[in-house]
Amino acid sequence: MHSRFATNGLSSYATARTIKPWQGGRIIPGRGTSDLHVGQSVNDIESVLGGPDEKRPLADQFFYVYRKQGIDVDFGASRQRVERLFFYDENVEGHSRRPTISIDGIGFRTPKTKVINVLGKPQCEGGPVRVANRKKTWIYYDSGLQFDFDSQDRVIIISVCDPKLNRSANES
Amino acid sequence: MTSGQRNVRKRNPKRVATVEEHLTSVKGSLKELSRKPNKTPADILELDKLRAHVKHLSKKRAEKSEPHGRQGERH
Repeated sequence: MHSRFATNGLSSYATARTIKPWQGGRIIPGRGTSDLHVGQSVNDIESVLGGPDEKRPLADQFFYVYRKQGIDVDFGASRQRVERLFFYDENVEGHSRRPTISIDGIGFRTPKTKVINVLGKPQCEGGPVRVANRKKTWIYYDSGLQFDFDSQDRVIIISVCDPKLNRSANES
Repeated sequence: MTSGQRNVRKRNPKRVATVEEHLTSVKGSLKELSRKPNKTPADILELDKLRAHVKHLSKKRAEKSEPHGRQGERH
């Protein structure tokens, strides 16, 4: 007698159900948004965003890349918990759509001067450096918030991390 | 009779100066990008490219021209 194995139940939780496109939200410095934040597990992220378009291990970071949602999630060296979240404007570093996010009225394409007026003087800034055919600069706040700007000084990437993560980098 | 130092390998000062200028600029970009706190995948790839470029230019800076006595030699 031949027994048949049912394999339809073997797919992971995230891919087994249909996931709505992420709705976006308000960014909380050092955390992320209400449903997408630092410290979440791989399963938590997949249940919100679905399976990634690409998984990229680079140096001591491990990225889930969501090109169509304009998001990258960095699980760090442990590959277990979210260390950093990156939100991209459309057509930036291979991302086709921008997520709906904001922080105190700051969003994509906001001028650098406005960001500094609203959030104050950053603790660290750098650039310009050419990355992926685009000259960019950045500012970083000790609260774990970072903004990347294009050559016209407009926000193209917003990233959030646990402030403890970059403490040693800022001290040097 | 000596060969008049014709076979001593030399450096072209103009070429060395150009390479050094380029090397300084690439090293500057590398330093700047290295201290960025939150690096995107593209930043990390660019860092790798810059490191490789610094290595290449450092090698090129140390390179000497071909032996003088061989210049213009027909094969």
